[in-house]
This record gives sequence, C-alpha cells and structure tokens, in this order.
Amino acid sequence: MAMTKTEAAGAQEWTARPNCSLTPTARRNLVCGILAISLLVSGGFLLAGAWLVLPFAGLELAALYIALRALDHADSASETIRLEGDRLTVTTRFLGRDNQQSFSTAWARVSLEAGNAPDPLICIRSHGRSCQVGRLMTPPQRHQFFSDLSRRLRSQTVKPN
Amino acid sequence: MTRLNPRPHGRFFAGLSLLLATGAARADYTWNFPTPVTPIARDTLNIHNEFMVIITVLFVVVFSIMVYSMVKHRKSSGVEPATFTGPTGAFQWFWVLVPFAILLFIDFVLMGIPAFHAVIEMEDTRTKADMVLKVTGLQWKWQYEYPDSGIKFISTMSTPREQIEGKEAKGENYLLEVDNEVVLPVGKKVRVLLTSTDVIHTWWVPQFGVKRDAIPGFLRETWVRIEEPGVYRGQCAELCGKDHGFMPVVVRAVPEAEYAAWVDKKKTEMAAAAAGSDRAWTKDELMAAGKAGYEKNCAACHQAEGQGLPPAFPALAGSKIVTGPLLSPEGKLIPDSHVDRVFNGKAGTAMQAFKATLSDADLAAIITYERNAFGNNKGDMIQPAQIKALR
Amino acid sequence: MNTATHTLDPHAGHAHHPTGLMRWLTTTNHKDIGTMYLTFSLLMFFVGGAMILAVRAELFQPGLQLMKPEFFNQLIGVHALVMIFAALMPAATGFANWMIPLMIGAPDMALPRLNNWGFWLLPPAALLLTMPFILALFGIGDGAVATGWTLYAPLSVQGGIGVDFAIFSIHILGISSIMGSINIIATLLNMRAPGMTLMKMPLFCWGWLVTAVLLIITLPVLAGGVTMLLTDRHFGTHFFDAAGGGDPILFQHLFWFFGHPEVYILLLPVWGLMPHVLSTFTRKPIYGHTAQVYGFIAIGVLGLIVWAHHFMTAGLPVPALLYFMYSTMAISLPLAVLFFCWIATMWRGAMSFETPMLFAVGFIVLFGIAGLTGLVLADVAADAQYHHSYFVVAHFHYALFAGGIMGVMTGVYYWLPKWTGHMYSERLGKLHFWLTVVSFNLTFMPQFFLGLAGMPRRIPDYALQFTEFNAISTVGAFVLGLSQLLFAWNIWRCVKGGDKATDQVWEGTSGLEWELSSPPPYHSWDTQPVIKSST
Repeated sequence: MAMTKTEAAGAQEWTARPNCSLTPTARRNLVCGILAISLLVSGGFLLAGAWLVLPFAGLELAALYIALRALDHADSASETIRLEGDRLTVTTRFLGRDNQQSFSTAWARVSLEAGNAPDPLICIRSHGRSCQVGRLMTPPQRHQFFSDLSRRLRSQTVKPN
Repeated sequence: MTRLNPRPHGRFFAGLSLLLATGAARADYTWNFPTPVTPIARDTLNIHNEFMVIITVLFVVVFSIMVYSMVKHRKSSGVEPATFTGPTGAFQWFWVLVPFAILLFIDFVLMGIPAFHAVIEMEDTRTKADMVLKVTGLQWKWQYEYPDSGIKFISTMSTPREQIEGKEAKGENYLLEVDNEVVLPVGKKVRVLLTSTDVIHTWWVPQFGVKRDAIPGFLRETWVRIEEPGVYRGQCAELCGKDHGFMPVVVRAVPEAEYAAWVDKKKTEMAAAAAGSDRAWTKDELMAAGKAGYEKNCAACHQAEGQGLPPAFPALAGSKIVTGPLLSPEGKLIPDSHVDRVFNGKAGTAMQAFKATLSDADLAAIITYERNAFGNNKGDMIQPAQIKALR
Repeated sequence: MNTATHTLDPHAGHAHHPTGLMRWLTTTNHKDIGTMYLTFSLLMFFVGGAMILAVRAELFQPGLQLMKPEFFNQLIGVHALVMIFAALMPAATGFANWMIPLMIGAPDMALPRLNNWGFWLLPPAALLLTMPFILALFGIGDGAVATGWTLYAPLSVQGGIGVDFAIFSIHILGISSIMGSINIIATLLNMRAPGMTLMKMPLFCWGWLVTAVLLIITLPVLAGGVTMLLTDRHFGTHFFDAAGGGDPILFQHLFWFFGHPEVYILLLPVWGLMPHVLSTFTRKPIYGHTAQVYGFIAIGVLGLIVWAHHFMTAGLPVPALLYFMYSTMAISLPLAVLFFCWIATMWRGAMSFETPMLFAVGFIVLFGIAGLTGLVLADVAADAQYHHSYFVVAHFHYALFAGGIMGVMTGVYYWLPKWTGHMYSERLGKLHFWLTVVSFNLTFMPQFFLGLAGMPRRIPDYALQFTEFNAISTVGAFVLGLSQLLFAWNIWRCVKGGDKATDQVWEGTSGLEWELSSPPPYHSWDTQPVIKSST
C-alpha cells in the first residue's frame, strides 16, 4: 500500500494507492521478454514450415496484454483526502468510478469504525453524511493517518478561537 | 555380458509368477542387455555398465548422507535445529562447490567422452560398408530388399492366432518368429537403409544395439556387423497402429558361403514366381493360393471371414467394391474398383498399395479369392498375366 | 522471516456468497476454485488409474486375454493424456489457487473471473477426451485416440475420430492452462505484500512463476502442431506428409518442444513445495533459497533447448545428436543444486517424520532415480537401446509418479489441515505412504529390467522371456492403485471432521499462510499484511 502525504501552503493531502508490486518498467520488460522469446520460437518454426505456431503465439500474447491492461484498471484505484482551509475533501476512485465528498472541517467528526470489514476503517461524518476511507491502507497506516487527521482537524477548529 | 544366473530372490519371483502363470512361463528373464553380437552393441553394453556403476555410486553416496542425517538429526533425539541458510566463508563455499565440480567431470568427461566416440561410431554407416540391406516398414510387416542381388521379400509374423488367443500352448519364440527371416553374412559391415510406406516404424534387434526409425518418405540408415552366427530376434519399437506388437524382426546370421548359397536359392525361387505370372492358372489353384495369401496379408484387418473391423477396417463380405466390376472391357484398371484398391491402396488409411509388395500370382489369387469367398460368389477370376499387364 | 503485522479474526468476513451449485459455478474465490481443481484432479487420477489397471491386467500374462490391441492402444494414450493434463496439471493449479494468495498476502488472484473460466473449461475437455469410448459403444467411430499421447503423424493422420476429439480437447486444455498461467503471473508479480521482494517470494511461488512462463512460451507450439495435424487430416494440407513436401519428424519437433518443458511444468511446482515441507519438519530454515530460485530458472531455460532427445533414434544429424546429448546432460547441474539444497536443509535439523515429511523423503529418493536414469538416457548410443523400451516407461514414471504425484500427495498432506481445519489420520497417512512406496517400486523397478532385456513399450502382448517381470509389475500396479483409495478415504474423513488443527498446524512452519486461521476465512488478507524487512 503506497501512502503519500504532500504538504503545501495551508493545504495537506494524503493519497493511498493499492500495492502494486509490479512496476510499469518491470511490466514492460516482462511483456517484451516474453514477446521476444515467443517470436524467436514461432519464427524458428515458421522457417521450418510450421507457420501455424505464429498465430497461436500472437493470440496468446494478446491475451497476456489484455490481462495486464485489466490489472491497470484495478490498480488505478485511489483514496485522496485533501485538507485545505476549512474544507475537507475526500476523493475515492474504485474500478474507474470517481466519488467526491466535501466536508467542513468545523463539523467533520472522525472515528474508527469496524463495519463489515474485519479491521476498522476511518469514518468521516458531518450533517448526516458520511464516508469511509482506508480500504487501501494497511492497518498501521490507517492508525497513523487517523491520528494525523484528528490532530490536524483539532488544531484547525481550535485556531480561529 | 552373459546372462546372470537366477539369484535366490530371482528364483522367488520366478516361482511366484510360475504359480500365477497359466501357460508355460519360462524363467528366461535377464537383468541386463542381451548378449551383444555387434561392435556397437558391445560398446553400448560397456557404456551402459559403466554408467550404471557411476549412477549407483552417486545414488549411494548422496542418499547415505541423507539417511545419516535422518538418523542423527531427529527431534526425538533431542537435537537443537541449526539455523544456517547457506554457505558462509570460503571454506564452506569450497565444500559446496566440490560436488558440482565432480558432477561436471562425470557429465562431460567420464560419461561425455565415451558417449562422443560411441555416437561417432554408430553414425558412421558408410565407411567400408560391404553390402546394403533395405528395410521397409509396412503396417504390420517388414519388407527386405538386397539391392546387390535383387532379392526382395516380405517378412510377417508366423505365430498362429490360436497361440495369441490362448487356445494353443505358446511356442518357444512366441511373437518373435516370422515366415521369411532376413539372412545376413557374418563379419560383413551391412549398411541398413530404412524407410516406410505408411507410418513411422522402428527397426530394433536388441542384440545388435541399433534402433532406428523407418520414416515414410525419408531414408534413414544404420549399420550392423554381426560377429556370431545365429538367429537374432527383435520387434518394431514405435507404436504403428493395431498390430504394432505383432511385427517381429528376425535376422539369421550365417557364414559367408552359406549366405551365398541362400542368395542363389532365393534367386531361383523368385524366377519361379515370376514364371508363375505367365502361365494360366485354374480357379481352384487361384482360390487355394488366394486363401493362404489372404490370411497372411489381409486377415489382420479384414478378418478371416471378411467381416472386417468397421469403421477403420471395412468388411469385404458383401462389400460394394469387392462385388463391383473387375476390369473395364478393355482390360484396364477402373478407378476405385476392387483391383485398384488392392493395387494402389487407399490414401490416408492403413490400406496399402500391394502392387509394391506382392507378386502377380499372389495378387491374382487374393483378388480372385476375395471375390469368391465370404459369400461374395462373384464367379469371376483374374489371371496373373492380366495383373502383369496392369503394372 | 516473513512476519505479518497482524492476524485476522477467523470468524469475520464470512460474508455473503451464493450457496449450493451456483456457488461452485459462479465462484471467483481462489479457495473455492482451488478446491474444485483439486477435487477434479483426484477424480481424474482414479479415471486414468483405472485405465492403466486394465492395461496392466492384460499384460499380466503373455497372450491377449481381455482386450483387442486397438482398445489397448486407446487405453495407454488416454491414460497418459488424462494423467498429465487432467490429474497432475490441475493438482498443481489447485495448489497455486489455494496457496499463492495466502503465501504472498493477496486477497485473491489478480483476475478472479478468468480463474473461474479456466477451471470450468477442464470438465468439458476431459469429457471430449473420453467421449469417443462411449460413442464407440453406440457404434459411432472406432474409439478414443489410439496413437499414444504423443499423437505422432502420420499414425494420427490415419486415426479415427478419436484423434479429432483429442485435438479439440488439447486446445481447450491449452486455453485453460494459458488463462491459469496469465493469472498466476499477474498475481505473483503484482499482488505481493509490501516488503516481499521477488527474491523473498516463497519458493513454491517461484516454482509456479517459472512454470507459468514455460507454459506461455510452449503452449502455442503444441496448439500450432495439433492444428496442423487437424488440417492434414481434413483440409488437404501436407505439413507432415512427405508425398506433399512435408516431414513427419516436424511433428515430433513441435510436440516435444512443448513436451519436454511440460515435464518441468509438471514438476516445478512440486520442487517449489519441497523446501517448505523439509524446512517445516526439520524445524530449520530453507537452505539456499536464492540458489534454488536460480536453479528453477536454469532448469526452465535448459528445458526449452533439449527437446530432440525424445527422438534420438529418428535419424538426426550427428552435430544435432551431440548438441542434444550434452545439453541434456547439463540439466543434471541445476537439478543437483536442488538436491543439494534439499539435503542441506535436512542437515542438522530436528527432524520428525509425519506423513508429509515421509512423502517428501520418498519423493527425493525416487525422483533421484528418475534423475540418474535420465542422465544415462541422454547418451545417444545407450539411448538407442533404452529408447521406445520399458526402460523409458520406468524412467518417466519415476519422474512423474514419484516426482509428480507423490509430490502432490506431499502437498495435500502438508496443507490439508490448513484447508479443512482438521488433522487427517496420521495412521492412515503413514499406511498410505508405505503401501505407495513399496508397490510403486514393485510396479516400476521390474520395468527397467524389461526395457534392458528388450521389451518395447506400447505392446499389448509380449514374448515369453518378459513374463516374470510383467507379472510382478501387474501385481505391484494393482496394490498401488488400490492403496490410493486410502488416500481418498483419508481426505474425505479429514474434510468431514477430525481433531482441530491449530493455525500454525505444524511446529516448524513459517510464512504468511500459517498466520491465518485453519481453515482460513473465506476472504483472507482483505487488508494487506506487511513483510518486515528483516530476514
């Protein structure tokens, strides 16, 4: 689980992404490697007169490519929590679908709630609206984020006074 | 290497199987290759024996270490497990690499060098070859051809069906006996050329130490120099269809003088057979010869009563093709007729072109027999001379 | 070395999923699919076994007693295809499905739906393969494929509809294997828990990664080869017909370019599993993790370049013979690395011999025989004598039964408590082991001598000097076959109940999969564990 935190003037952003142990470079190398070997093999058989190996190799590499693209789709999921001024914006993206909710820092309440999942998620509530974040975080990251966010919100609400 | 005497445990197993055996099982098993009779076979046996010693030593050494560890390092004996996960330090690395150096030596020196020489010798079919034997695999028999003397014949298994089906006691050379043995002179380097007319067969006589595929449309070769007179038996070794288990190879090796006499005798026989195609045969003669020829060449597939084994092997009894017209009014071949099938076979099936392997008289007799047996009763006949004209 | 930061509550997450038949038809859960693969594999193991027992019964005595030669030829070929494609490969895929996500801390396979399709292609393929037997009973066609599993042209061009059924079946099995491979590659590369670098990946996963890559490289060659066979049979091409400019040996190149790596495809998952079992029952870490990874890769690479040693009697040119001989001998080096590491893992451990450990040790010794006889088979001159004989039959059964199937049994006994939450009967397990090992050797050891004496393989009847060893072999085969009923019975009892297994199951286990409950929750690793960087 990749968790990044950026801080700019008056704004703060946490982004959680799913753990992809396959980097884009490694993926490209993998596909190119298999492509090269497959071409070598089916090219050799092509020269020996067995040209029918080539289309099957092509079909299979296409399948591999499509499968890896499908992974991309799943890997594009993210959870972004942005704290700027008095707005707390939560953007989640799962399976290519975006969902954005905005809360006022003054009213937002943060808690850890178990819900359906075995481990508690972070729940942000305000005026009857709520959203859960933390699906893409490991439990320690979640606890870290929870204490981080609660502290920030507290200091924000305290400051104007 | 000579056959080992049955050891006590061997006797036990032999006794066990004798108890279980219904027929007359003979304690004739061996623990190693049969006695070699060619330089290649002797070479192969030596290499094999050497390799067996090497791998037995490897096996014993490696697994002694393991067994020692299994006995010594048991939880029940209260040992504390070690925690190492790989070699550390130059000394350990040295001891880890030694076994691989030894293996490398065994692979490419101890085994690799004799193996290299054996390959070179085995594949040298041409140097100083004295004669050529051409072997053609057919489903499911062998054809042998001596290009030097023009001799050509088919060799088929001669074990009767009754023995195979258990209705008769099995003979000594059960499944390894043929009607026409290949005869080769002792001490001559014989270059063996192999091909096939239908599927891939493999010509194999264990005592010669050679095994080579007979591939349709290609010529492969190997060689033998038989050192001892005797009869040597082998089998087809590549699955070639229904009767793969029933196409033995039998070679009779004889001294050179005896070989020359055999060649003369065979030539006379062939001349007599050729003469047979010029005279007119009676129908009874054709039917008698046809029955014998049919049983030898055709019955394996089309069955003794002509009922066949459909769908792979069609019935001849009542067959449209067999009961169709014989020849065109001008005495020419009719495409896809009975004579055409026997003559040229059918592509893509086990039905072969018998004009390549049978004499005119045999063909005429078999065709006549098929048209008049199994209740076909066509009443017509074909003469060897007519067959000859079709060639 | 791998320590997760937390353990799941076993009773949470038993969330909503359909029940009954629909659960199994539509499931995308890696555990369900793994179970289906393993069940299918066990079933087909008995189907293939029954076929070969009929063959062994026929070979008990010389003469034809039970069946016609054409039926005999069908049984041997379908036995091989069923055992390889429907018993051994699905068993390894079943292991992969169950264990890979648990081992790398992933919630499921990367492409769950593809996983479901991959499994459900198998039953129709197995049906296609065996259907010609049934059709023949109704007078349609002349039975199943009778060419042996190698399908050599031109015999297969000549064959009946059984060949067409086998070709389609192989295509479907191939598609299924490709789906499985792509999925496993994607899962292993993309879904490892944070901190689990490639080199820290468990060896079982490494074995499967190499297997999956080998499948991707070689399957198109098999698919192309059998398709060319199909067009030769029905569409007038002449790829394998010398009369039309083709070459029958081309088929053998195509077949064995797939066929030789296939041996490693069957064995690599088992080689990957062995160190885990050895480490568990010696209570000692795996020796030479990295060396074994490179060993797998080296065997995979060498496996791709030695194919023609399967037809050295076909008349290859001398340089080719020499090349294939020496490259084949070279495989002994990486294999020796594995053997070295296995024995070094045992060395100075604190061993105990529960059933999985017994099977592992049995595997190492018997697979050693396969490896050593393989080394002598590489020699071209001696191979001329061994080839196409029972020596080869014995050799590859030591590799594929003792190496493959006994390896699978090791895995089943090792992981069964984890899967079911119950301990199997240790007494039955040990009885099964000893019966299997003794009867296996009784079956196949005599076949080495049969081959040396000159008995060709695939013959329905034999000369009298082969009688004794064949009789012994048949007795062994029946004991071997019947002993496997104990295996099935033991699994059944374990699934139904038995002593509770702990989460760790065995005293010496390490790895993520043993931190989950036994049985693991339906959805495991919903939140990812982290591998600590210390090793």
